[in-house]
Amino acid sequence: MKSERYFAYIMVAPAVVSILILSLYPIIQGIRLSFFDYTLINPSKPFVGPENYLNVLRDPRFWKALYNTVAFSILSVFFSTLLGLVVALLLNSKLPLKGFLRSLTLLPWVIPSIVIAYTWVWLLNREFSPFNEILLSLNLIKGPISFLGDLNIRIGPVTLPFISVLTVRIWTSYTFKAINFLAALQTIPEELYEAATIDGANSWQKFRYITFPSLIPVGAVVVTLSLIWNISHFDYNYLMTKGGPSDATNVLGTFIYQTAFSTFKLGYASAIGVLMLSISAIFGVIYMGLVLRETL
Amino acid sequence: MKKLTWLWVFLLVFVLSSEVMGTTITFWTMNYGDTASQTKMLDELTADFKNKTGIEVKYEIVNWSQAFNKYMLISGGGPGPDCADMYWAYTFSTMGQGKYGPMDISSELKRYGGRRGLEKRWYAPSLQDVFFGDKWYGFPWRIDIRITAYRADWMKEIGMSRAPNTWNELVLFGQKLTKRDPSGKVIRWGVGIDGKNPQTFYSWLWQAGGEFLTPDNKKSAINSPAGKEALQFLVDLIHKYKICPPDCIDPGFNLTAAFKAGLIGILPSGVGAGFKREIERTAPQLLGKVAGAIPLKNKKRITFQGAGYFGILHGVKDKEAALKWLEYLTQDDVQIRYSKVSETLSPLKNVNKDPYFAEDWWYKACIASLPYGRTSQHQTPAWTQITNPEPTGIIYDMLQDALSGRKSVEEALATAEKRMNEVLSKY
Repeated sequence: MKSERYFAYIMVAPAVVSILILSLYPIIQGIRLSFFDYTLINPSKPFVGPENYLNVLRDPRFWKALYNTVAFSILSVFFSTLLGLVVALLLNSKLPLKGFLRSLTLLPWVIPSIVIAYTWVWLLNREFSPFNEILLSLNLIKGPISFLGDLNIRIGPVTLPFISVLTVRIWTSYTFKAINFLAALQTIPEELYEAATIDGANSWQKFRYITFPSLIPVGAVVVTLSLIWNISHFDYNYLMTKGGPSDATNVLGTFIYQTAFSTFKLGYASAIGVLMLSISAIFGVIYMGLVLRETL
Repeated sequence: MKKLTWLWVFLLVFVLSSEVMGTTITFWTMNYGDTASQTKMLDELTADFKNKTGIEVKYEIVNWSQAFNKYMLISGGGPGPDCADMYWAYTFSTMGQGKYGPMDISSELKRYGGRRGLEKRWYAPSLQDVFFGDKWYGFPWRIDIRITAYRADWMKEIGMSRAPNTWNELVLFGQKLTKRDPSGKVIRWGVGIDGKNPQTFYSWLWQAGGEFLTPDNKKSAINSPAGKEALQFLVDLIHKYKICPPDCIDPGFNLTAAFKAGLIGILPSGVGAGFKREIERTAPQLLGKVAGAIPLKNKKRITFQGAGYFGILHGVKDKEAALKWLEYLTQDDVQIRYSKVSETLSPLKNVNKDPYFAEDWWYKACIASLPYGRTSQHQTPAWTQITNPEPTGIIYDMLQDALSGRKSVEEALATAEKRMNEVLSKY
C-alpha cells in the first residue's frame, strides 16, 4: 500500500515539477518584481514597496485598459456563447451535410491566430475592404470606412475599432462553445423530448424546460473558462491594432506587453500583471468550484 | 593505470582535434532582401573567410520580427553569438551594463586610425550611431535613408517634371494630384504619410528647424514653435488640405501598399533604398512611372537616416577572430556584394561609387540624399522608449492623438514633452 502511494507520487512528480517551474516560479517572480522599480535600462533596482501599485491605480491608461478588458470579456463571452448555442442547436438538428458543417464550424478555431488576424486586417482595410465595397454599392455609406481606425463612428461609448476587433474575437471563440454545447445536447435522452411531446409541449417549451436546463452545467464551465481566457486575452488586440488607435482597443494583456517591452518598465508591468492575475483568480476559483461540484 | 592512459589519449585527441578544427565564431544577422540570395552569399563569404584565415563562421539569420526581443534578452544576460548585425547601440549597451550585450571595443580603435581614420572610409553621420560618449561599438554597414518617392507619370499629368522641393510645393502638387469622383469620394491621394510610425515625424521636425532633445540629451525640446509647425503641417495635410488619407493612423494602413495600388502620388521622406526591389518584385507595372527625389526643404533640407552596424558581444570567445570577421565583412568589395544582396545602401563611401548604385535610377536618388541624412538615434537610452512604434511609445501616441483630432496640436506636444522629460529624468 505504501509502495503504491510512492509510485503515485513518482508518477505525478514530472507534472508537479513542470507546473512549479513553468507556472509558479514566474508568478512568484512577477509578484516580487512588482515591488521594485525595475527597468531594463536602469542599472539600479530599488525596492519601492507598493508604489508601483499606487502608480498603476493612478494611471488613466490602466483604467482604460481595464475598462476595455471588462467590456471585451463580457461582450465577447455573451455573444460568442449565444452564437455557439445557436450553431450547436442547428448542428444537432436534422440538417443535410451535417458532418461537413461541423467541420466548417471548427475552422476559426484551427486556423492560427496570426493568420486570422492579418486576414481580417486586410478585410477591414479602408482602401481594400470588400465590406466597404458592399456598403458603398448599397449606398449605405458615403465613403469608405476605416474599420480599425475611425474613432468617430461609435455606438455609445463603443468605437468602431473596438467593434471590429470584438467581432473577430467572437468569430474565433464561438466554436469552442458550439462544440461543447453540441456534446452536451447529444447526452440529453431522447425520451425526455418524447414525453414532452406526449404532454403537448411546443418547441419553445421543450427548449425552455429540457434543453436549456441540461446545458447549464456545461454552459457555466464554458462561460467561466471563457471569462478567464478573455481577461488575459492578447492575440487579436495586439495583432490587429496593437491596442490602438488611441487606446481604443487596448486591453490589460497588450498594456502589460507595451509597458514591459516598449517602455521597459518591468516592475510596473509586473504590478499590472498581478492585478490582472487577481481578477482572473476570482473566475478561477468559481471555475474550480463548478468543477468540484460536478465531480464530487 | 589503464584508466589514466585512456584519459591522456582522450585529452590528446581533444587538443589535436581543436587544432585541426581551428577557431569557430558565431554570427547573427537579420534577414534582408531575398533570404535565399542572402543565405547563398553568407555561405560563400564564410567559406572564403575560412580559406583566408582558417576561422570558421557559423551564422544565423534572425528574422526582423524577433530581432528586438532577441537582442533585448542577450543584453539582459541571455545566450548570444560572438558578433552580430546590430542596432540601437545606446539602448542595448545600457541594458547590458558593461556585462552583457554590445561590447565596447574602443581599445581597438587605434588600429583603424581612431574615429578620424574611420571617417575616411565611412560617411560621418553613420558613425554617430556606433559611438556612445567615448565608447565605440562597431562598424556601420547599412544606411537606411528615407527619400521621397513619387509617381513621375502623374506629375506629367499635372504639368510638372519633378518632385516637390518645399513644403509649399508639396501642398500645391498634392492638391493637383488628389482626384475625387463625382460624389466627392477621393480616388487618388496626393500625399501619403505613415501616421503610426514615429519615424514619420523625424524629418518634418528637423525640416522645420526643430529638435527632439536639448543638446545634452537631458530634456525634451519637442514643444517648440518648430515642433508645432511640423505637427500642425501633418494635421493640415489630412484635415485642412485633405490631400493625405485620414486612415494613415489606422493599424491596417500600409503606406507602400497604397502607393503601389495607385492610391497615393507622393511619399515625402517615406521610403528607403529597399523600395526599388519592392517595386520590382511586387509592382513591376510601376517601373518607369516611379521616381525618387531628395528630401523636402522647409527651414532645412534634412531627412531621417537609420543605420545598422556589425559589433562584438560580451561573452565572445575569441575577440580577435570576431574582429577579423567584421573587418573582412566591411571590406569595400565584400560590402558592394553585401549591399546588393541585402538591398541596402552602404555607409562606406567607396561602395556607393560602384556603378550598380551610382548609376541606378533609384539608388542615385538615395545617394544624392545622403548629404541631408541625419541619424535617428539620440545619445540616450531613453530614446527607444520615446520612439517605440507602438501605443505607449511617446511619439507614436502624440501622432495618434494629433492626427486623429483627439487632441489639439498644442495638447499633444505638451503631453509628449511631459512624458519625455519623465523618461529622460531617469538617466
